[in-house]
Amino acid sequence: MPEQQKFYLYCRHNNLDIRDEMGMPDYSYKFVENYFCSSLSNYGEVVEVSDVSELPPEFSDNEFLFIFAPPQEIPEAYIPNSIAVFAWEYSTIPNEPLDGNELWNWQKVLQSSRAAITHSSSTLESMELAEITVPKMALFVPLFEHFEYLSREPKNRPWSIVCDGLNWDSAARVASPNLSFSEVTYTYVFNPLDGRKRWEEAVSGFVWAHRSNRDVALILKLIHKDQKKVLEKVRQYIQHLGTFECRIVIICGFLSDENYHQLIRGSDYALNTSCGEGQFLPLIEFMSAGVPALSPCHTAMVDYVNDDNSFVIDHSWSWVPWPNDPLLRFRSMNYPIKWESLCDAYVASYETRKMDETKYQSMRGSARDSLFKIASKQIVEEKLLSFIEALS
Amino acid sequence: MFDTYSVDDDANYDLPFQEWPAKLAMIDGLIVASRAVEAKVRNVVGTKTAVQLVEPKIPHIKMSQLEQGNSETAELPVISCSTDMYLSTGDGRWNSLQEPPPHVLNRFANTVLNQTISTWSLGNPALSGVWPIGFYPSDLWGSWAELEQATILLPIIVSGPIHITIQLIGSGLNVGREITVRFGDEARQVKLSPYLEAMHFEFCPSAPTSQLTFEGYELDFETDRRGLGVGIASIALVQSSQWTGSELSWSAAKNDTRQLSLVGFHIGDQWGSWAKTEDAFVLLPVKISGRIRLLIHLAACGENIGRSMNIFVGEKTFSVILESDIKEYCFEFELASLTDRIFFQGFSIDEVVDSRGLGFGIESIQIFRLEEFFEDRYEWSPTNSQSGGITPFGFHGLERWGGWAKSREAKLLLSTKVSGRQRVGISLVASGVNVGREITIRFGDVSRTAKLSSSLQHFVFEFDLEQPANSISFEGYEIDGESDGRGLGIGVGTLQIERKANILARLQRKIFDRDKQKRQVPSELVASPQVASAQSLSKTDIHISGTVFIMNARPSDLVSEYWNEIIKDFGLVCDSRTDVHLVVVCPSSWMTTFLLPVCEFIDRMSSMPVLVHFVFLDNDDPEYARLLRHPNVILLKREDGLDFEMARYAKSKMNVTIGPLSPGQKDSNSEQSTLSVGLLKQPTQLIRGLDTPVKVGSYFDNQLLCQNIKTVLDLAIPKVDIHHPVHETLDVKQQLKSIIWDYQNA
Repeated sequence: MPEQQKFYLYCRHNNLDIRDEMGMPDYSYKFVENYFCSSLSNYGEVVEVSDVSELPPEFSDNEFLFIFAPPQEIPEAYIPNSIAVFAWEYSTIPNEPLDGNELWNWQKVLQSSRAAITHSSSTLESMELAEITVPKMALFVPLFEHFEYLSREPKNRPWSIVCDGLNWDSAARVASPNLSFSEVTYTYVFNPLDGRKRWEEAVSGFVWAHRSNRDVALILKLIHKDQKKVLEKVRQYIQHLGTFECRIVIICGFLSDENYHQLIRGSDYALNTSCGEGQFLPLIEFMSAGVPALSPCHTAMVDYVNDDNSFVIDHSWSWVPWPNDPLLRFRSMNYPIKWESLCDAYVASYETRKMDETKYQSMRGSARDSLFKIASKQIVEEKLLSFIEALS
Repeated sequence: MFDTYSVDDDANYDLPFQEWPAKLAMIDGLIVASRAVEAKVRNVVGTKTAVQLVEPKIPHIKMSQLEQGNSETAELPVISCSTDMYLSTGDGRWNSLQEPPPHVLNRFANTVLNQTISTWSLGNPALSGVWPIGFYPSDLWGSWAELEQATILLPIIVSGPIHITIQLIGSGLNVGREITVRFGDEARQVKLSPYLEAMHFEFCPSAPTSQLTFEGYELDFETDRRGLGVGIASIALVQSSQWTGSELSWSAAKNDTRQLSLVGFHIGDQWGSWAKTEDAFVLLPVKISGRIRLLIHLAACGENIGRSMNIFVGEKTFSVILESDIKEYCFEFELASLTDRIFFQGFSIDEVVDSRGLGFGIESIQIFRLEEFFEDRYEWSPTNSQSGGITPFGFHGLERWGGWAKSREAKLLLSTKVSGRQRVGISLVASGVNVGREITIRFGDVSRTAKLSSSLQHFVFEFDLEQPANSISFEGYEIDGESDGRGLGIGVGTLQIERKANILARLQRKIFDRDKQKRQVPSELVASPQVASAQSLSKTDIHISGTVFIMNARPSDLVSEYWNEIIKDFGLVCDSRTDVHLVVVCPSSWMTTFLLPVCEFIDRMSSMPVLVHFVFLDNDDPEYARLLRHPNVILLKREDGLDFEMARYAKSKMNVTIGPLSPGQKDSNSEQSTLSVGLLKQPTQLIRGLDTPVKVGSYFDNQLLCQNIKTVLDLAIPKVDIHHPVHETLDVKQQLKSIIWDYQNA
């Protein structure tokens, strides 16, 4: 790198406790910003900003303004200086004002910006389609090293975690903060109020596939600050599925790092039934830790989910509105999973875990290797630095 | 016979009806409506219970019979269809969802009001037909306004004097507020109450109008965070017309199709309606005059029991003593002047019995014209009770055999007075204490006796009437409270009154017939006691040129968004094509409820030029049959294969069809359709967004459906009808007959 560079990292969640923002719109931008902060601090001065007033009026060539927010939230005056870092999971980039807001025309905003960074190659393609010609790149969050060590540890049974908050266990009469698992476990980390997650299909498919199997457990780690509300929502749905022998556990509370890592360590499979993802941090975390997945291979997952590291769930597509369009006009595609394919994946993955250790270990290794290629600090930093150099 | 979507193929698990397999296994036979359900049910019940398939069969052209290459669409015949209404993606730009272009409004309201009473509901599909604009989706009771100015577009155009009764409600801060109701260039004020209230307005718009506009309320965000304006349940238009003299009969009961127009009454109960205010009155849809018989059923409660109440009809006044039970009163009178109202006086509003405040109660009203000329013959039986010139008074509701008297004053009333020698044939029956009893039958000033038995017995009497008489009464029987909870007097099965016609009578008859002809009025002015459902009022034509796909929408689609997926798939394939159309046939009888989602959907599709027409037609409308029988249409069957509506009319020709792939079939070139689309299973809640059980449904795979639509478009569709001899086995009735025959002969 040439002389000292200065990186302004703007994220409106910077001064907030992330616990209070869990499940709220765009809260994962803060996670992304944290990782960028850590990487960029090795190459220059980093200034974290949560208010526009803290930004300088002008930027030199060696000063870079990263905006961790959806493009319509980029402060208008700073659009020409901004390097937009954003997630997007639809087939088209918004290219018209929504609800009278010109900034929702992302095509126009991004085309006026200094550069754009998104996470997946799929979103990069959408930008190409939208004829956004400013410098742009796809960059996943460099979190591989934080979880990779777990891939080298054996999967012991039983294993336990302690939850600080609400939880529910279909196999227990009374909820206990200490949860112990000896079954083949599938873990899905999601916000139940986020319609893209299609968690209902994950749950119903699990019950359908493993209804009479006591040796499987589905762990639903919910991300939302209103624990009671989301717990009730998910529990009510489960209770409409009739009787079943398999186990479903809902965890709502914020897990300590130690317990979260224990959750990853203990889980046999990570689960994803979403119809579109910008990158899907939990899946990247689990797979970096050598946890194979049950996941569709669309949107961001195209870059890291494959038959070697996952039971790939088939998907279809649907013509849908952009999520923030109040008029709900059909403008884009998302990719709902094929539910029967999910059911098949549940059965096949269980059989593999119980009867084919070689294949399972191979999938673990493949998961770790795949994520190294896109989310390791080394790879991400190389790409980021060369991108910044090109901008200077 | 049943349909299910939740019984799993694996037979040992079901969502959510765990008891079904055991129960189904105990039944002798099951009839199911699709192969998909048949396969599931067979898995569940095994071989113990016979499972029979009755399915809609639509003859289809096989893929091998079709040639590759685009149809020359310019040569395709134009499809014309007379619809109750249609909305199209090709209608041009709307200012907003609440501002349809004028030509769309004109298409909806294009008929002059020609009914005496027209009633529409915003919640009850049986009275569908208005277009609420600026309202939330309908609930069963009606709909809340979403905007501060909301409009209800009527399907008819009105000018001149009109009575409008609107059931309104307010909530939160709108309770007690005076709002404005506009109809054309006129405005009226009305105060909102916290419960549904039928308010009466008299308008006389100088120019033809069809829009009722509501304003002057606020959006109440406290009761409901959506913000509620005025709530509207129903609208009734009453246009008084000339009375032809036909029998008029109205009910005050809730949801009765012969709804009486009541002003100042509470919303009807199952039996009838209670007066709410002391100035309550009945608005008749016709102006009556001349010699009249009025039958009215009244009741009272609380402090009004035993009161004397006056009834005013034109210049006549009658008095009744109100009783706690519903009692029938009969008045015969002659009105010199025309009137269309019946007023009541002498009751009070009792708030002790019911906090709503109840005056008197009214169950029904019947009005008859008393004829001036003798008839040679009168005949009455339960099957021709409306037209025989005889009206039972003081009887329970008629049964198939006849009717039981409910009071000791039961009579049979003739529409005119008769005199001279009359031959009366009457069949009578008794129950309980009246069996074996001798009763007196009185006709005018002459009486005869008959001994009653427990079965219908026919008696013939001769009466020589010196004084003209118009009723036959019965004396000497009791009300039997033992045999039936209702309390039974005598039973009357049939009645014939006949006299030997002499020269004078024949002359009178001739004059009478001539006079009857003179009194005939144009049919559009004939008063009908029937409620006009709006579906038959508005008709508008659509003309389509090109290749036309047809699919049906159903009421159940209102709680599912899946039908949208099929239309979207068509849109994705046919984007920017002006020669390909999709006609979505929506049930006209649900028009009011469908209009909002259809408008929203058209708006949501606005990003791409594609021709989709939402046509409102009921499937018993001949136009629907004509549409399906058109040669160059492609039938897009629904994902469940339950297209009975299509099968009914499309069975006489060979069709190009796209439909679901049957269980066990893998090839898209199946036996069921020209092209078959693979299905995806999908768990959904029975009612979206509500806390309801989970079902597993089958839906088209979007990708495959798009492929098949595209494939069909690449084929040369026959431009002329390929007629198909109707095989009996295709007909649903025939399929059912065959099953029953097999059962009977098993």
